[in-house]
Amino acid sequence: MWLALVVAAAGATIGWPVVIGGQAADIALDEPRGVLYIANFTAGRVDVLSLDDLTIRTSMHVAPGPSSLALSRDGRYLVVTHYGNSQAPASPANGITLINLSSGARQTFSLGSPPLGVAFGVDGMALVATTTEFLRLDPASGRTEWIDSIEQEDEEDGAGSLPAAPGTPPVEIVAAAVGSSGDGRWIFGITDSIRFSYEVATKQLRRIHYTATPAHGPRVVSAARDGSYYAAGWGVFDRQGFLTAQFGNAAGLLAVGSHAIDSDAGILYAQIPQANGDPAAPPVLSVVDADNLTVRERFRLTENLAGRALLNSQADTLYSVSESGVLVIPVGNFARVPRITADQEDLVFHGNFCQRGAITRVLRLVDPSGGATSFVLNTDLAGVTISPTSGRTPATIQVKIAPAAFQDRRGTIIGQLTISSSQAVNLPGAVRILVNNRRPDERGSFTPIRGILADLVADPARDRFYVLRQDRNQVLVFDGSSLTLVSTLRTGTTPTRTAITVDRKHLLVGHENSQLLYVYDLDTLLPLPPIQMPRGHYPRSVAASANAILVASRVAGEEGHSIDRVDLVARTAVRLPALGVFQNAVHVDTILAATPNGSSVLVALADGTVMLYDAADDTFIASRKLGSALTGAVAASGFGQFLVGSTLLNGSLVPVGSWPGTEFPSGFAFVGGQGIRLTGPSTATGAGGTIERVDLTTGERIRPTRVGEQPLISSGLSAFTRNLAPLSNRSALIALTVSGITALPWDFDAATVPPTIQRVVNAADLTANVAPGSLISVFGTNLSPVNAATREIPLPTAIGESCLTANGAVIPMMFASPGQINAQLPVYLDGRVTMTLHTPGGVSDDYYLNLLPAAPAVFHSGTAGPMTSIPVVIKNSNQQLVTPSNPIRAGDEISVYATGLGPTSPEVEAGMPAPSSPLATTILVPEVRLGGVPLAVSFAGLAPGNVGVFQINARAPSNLPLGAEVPLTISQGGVTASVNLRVVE
Amino acid sequence: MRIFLLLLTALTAAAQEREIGFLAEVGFPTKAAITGTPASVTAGFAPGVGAGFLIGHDRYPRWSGEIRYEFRSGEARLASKGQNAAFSAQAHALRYDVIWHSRPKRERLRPYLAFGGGAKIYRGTGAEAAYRPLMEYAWLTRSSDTKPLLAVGGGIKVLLGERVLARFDFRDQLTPFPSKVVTPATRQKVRAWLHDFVPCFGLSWLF
Repeated sequence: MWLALVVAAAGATIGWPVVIGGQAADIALDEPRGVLYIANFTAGRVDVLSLDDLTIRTSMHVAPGPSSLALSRDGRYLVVTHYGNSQAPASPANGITLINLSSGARQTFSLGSPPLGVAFGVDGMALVATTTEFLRLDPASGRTEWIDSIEQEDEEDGAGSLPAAPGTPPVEIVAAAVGSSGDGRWIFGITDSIRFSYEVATKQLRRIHYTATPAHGPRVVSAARDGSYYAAGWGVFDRQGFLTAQFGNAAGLLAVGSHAIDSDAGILYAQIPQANGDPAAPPVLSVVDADNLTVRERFRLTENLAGRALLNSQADTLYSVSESGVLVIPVGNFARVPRITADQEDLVFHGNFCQRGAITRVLRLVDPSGGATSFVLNTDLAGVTISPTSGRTPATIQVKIAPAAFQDRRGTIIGQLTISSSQAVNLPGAVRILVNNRRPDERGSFTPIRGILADLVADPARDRFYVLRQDRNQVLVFDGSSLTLVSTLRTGTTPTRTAITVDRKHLLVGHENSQLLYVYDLDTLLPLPPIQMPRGHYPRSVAASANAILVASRVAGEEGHSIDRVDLVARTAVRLPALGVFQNAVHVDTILAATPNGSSVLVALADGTVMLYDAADDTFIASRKLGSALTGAVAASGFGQFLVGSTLLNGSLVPVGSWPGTEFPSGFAFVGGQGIRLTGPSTATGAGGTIERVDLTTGERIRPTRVGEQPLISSGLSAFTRNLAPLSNRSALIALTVSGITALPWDFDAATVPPTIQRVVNAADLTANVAPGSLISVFGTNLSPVNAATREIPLPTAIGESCLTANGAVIPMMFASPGQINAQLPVYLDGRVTMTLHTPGGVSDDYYLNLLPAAPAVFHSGTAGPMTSIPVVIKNSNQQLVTPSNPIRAGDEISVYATGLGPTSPEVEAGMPAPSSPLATTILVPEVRLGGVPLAVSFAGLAPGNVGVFQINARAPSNLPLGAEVPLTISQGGVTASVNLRVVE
Repeated sequence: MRIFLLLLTALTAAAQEREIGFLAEVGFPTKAAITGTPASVTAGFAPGVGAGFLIGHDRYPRWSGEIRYEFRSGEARLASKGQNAAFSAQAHALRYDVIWHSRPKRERLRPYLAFGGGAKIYRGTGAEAAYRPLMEYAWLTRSSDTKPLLAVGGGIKVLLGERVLARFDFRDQLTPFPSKVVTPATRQKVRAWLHDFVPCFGLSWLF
């Protein structure tokens, strides 16, 4: 009941603040008694909060400065530490109060040093950390046992003195946190200079000295149930104290924010204030993956968290120290609170030379809880019309652009559609608006990819390429022929650069916010155990030579950034003592690029230095200062030439050529004896890009060609870019551009040839029968410069630089290649239709096509094992294709997938997916027979979620003829489609 | 079933000695070649263990007869060039055997020859799938196929006591190929008799 109140009363924020009249330093949850103990540091008491009605029923007056609490696992004892690090003339008053919650008896002990924290282990003993030692307290006897000392250099830990400056929160005074794992077997802690872990069973205490910039805040420790990992401050550590992930750009405030781990769900609830964040912005609780901190969702908090957070045993309520005292957050209720989500991250408006009219895209806003939540939409892009601009969920939003408003601008113009709501408690991400009016002289087909794209590498042994999506911690694996996403690999936190080993078997991924180097098997696309870098080393860039795998690491602390060497077999990494005759001291922004044959590795530092590692000599053979700063593309050839930015270097890293200009050198590739250079504007504004060949001997620029979209420029994490990758089969060049990837034909600068349409057939059985709404295949020559497929819904009206018109109107397309295009005919057409194809090479001759009112055709796209071209007839009992080894019997339910079944009710526009409610059924019901025996048809209509695909559900009767090739016929409007199926008893 | 009851009635009426027993057996079926393809493809059933029972009469000095039911669970199989496909299958056999003994009744050891006939039901019981290896040559289907059965062989009966009899025998069970369970693909053929060589052990009670 009160959970509902928490949200309702809080309006557009989540969390119910419990005002304690003081400042809380710690909390302890006592679920059997239904209470939460709150250490009210400033008031000198322990407030007892009822979990039933969230009111403070009683308060226990204790000694001044209750700074940390721990409840024994049997619920019998509450230990309160008192931080009394008072300076003269006052006397220190550090101590412990041991409260027997069953009898009410209390014992008070004094401590020689200020206590930093306390936690109970599974052995029933409490570990007390002070600024000078670790003690083990037996609550039954009140005896303490010395465990370990804190060495001299650590004595500053937690030594905030009293009285503190006005405005100093308790967590900042104590500046330490201690927490135990859910099973009580491990206790972890953090102070200003050490992190420690204590194994309860063995009484082994392990301390790790650290330096951190910014400070490790929030000063909270939360541990996984089994103690296999824990979060402390802005970092996540394994049991041994190795940093596996960290929140990027953390402000490092000790007393703002918190986190708690839900081990079962594998998530972390966290408020981690950001450096340079908007001070007026509401505090945000992020729900992130516990392993790599990928944000799942974000919620507005009622107020800042300010210390320890605890999940209850049901993991549905989070209690956290907060500014007012305690904030109670119903995390288990998130699915039922008002939220807003959009069904698309990007709205892509691709005008083309077929279509210059207005383009409309549909965006759907929903509240996942099913509620009617109000919203307001805004855009920063002039020329975009939104309708409606406000309303309540669920809502269908029409977003329309007039290409004329952008006709004077080349490239892709990027804007945002922001979603705001006074009722939603989540922070919906802005929807990106991408507008592109490609002109006939521009090359490239686009595949939108949302997010921060950090690196691109083509697989030298497979028809694939890999893109790092930094904001989602992913490697996106694309098929090189179809440009479709075939797999998504999870990485560590904030992937930065990737490399493929010389044996072409492994993909290596470095990170900005993890000290792990991730490794993937490229044959299976499965992750292998990651490699731990030396402590404090973040592997930002990696390159694999034939001899050594080198990593450019950002190094925390004063050691300096370095080049490390990785042993992939032993799965170890070490800092190189020196780089040949040079010191191992590199710039934080250092990029590595290996030659394709693994003979050497180019090292480029953003401060203007370049270095060269030679695999044969296994040392660094050259280092040179090229200028004050380096930026842009980096590439290494297998024939002793290298490129950084716009400068070509020889085998001694001496500049031998350059291409000066104002354009940003975004990508470069050595191909054969030539270079291919990709440039674009130095800002992200829409101005397109340029790709050109360069003669590596003379420096001559050869046939500069416009690219339809501007390439990416360097991001905040690195001045360097790797935005151009030639595919290994030489079918295309892939570029990272502002909306995602742009595929350019290998001969992007070749003279263009007009397309020729030779044949138009239905895409199901490739016969000439087509009807309005049919999926069609167009066969011919020069239909598209590249192979490209799309997953965009609704289907785009141009793919791979090609667009197809029917009676002058563009039609939706799903695939384009030089010899074939797949598209969908509009539902409103009939009779004789004129089809024309537009490509960069020109316009095809008209092709005349006669449409039938209905032209059923069964898809032959089924595959089973090595068998292909199987009619797509599914036996519903096992959801497998009907084949001779999966035959039909009397009584079987089957689903037939076809196209060309004519108009439906409701009508579904071409290019749009079929609705699931109401279903779009055929107006003319098809007659289905098997061996001449009619089948009872229970449904005939568009398959929900699919474009142009019809589904017929039917049941086989009892009197079926048997045989290996019994004809299944679908008749509609005088046209019959037939496939043979095996029927058995 | 009707024939079975008739035989049983006759047996009961005429019996001097009657026998009821249980059988344990191991079958070694032969394979048949799929024709119509240049590839070498064989089809058949995997060797397997089985069980059954018999009811017999022994009213003449050297001639007797018995009804035998045998069940076996195993796999239907296809094989070609190191590739295999398998499908769970069963076989039920019911037949009447006429037996000639080389020694008269009440001898402790009685070698014998036997021949008989009946029916054998092959059943495919596996889970069907859209693809199975070697399906370009034959299809393994969840079907039933009843075939006539001939059986010839011999063995020895050992009288273990007044009313307990053990037997060791060997039969060759012949049936046409069950092409509803292992169906040659279009344009492929299989024309063969399947031999099933069955060593068997039995234990009977005489009454």
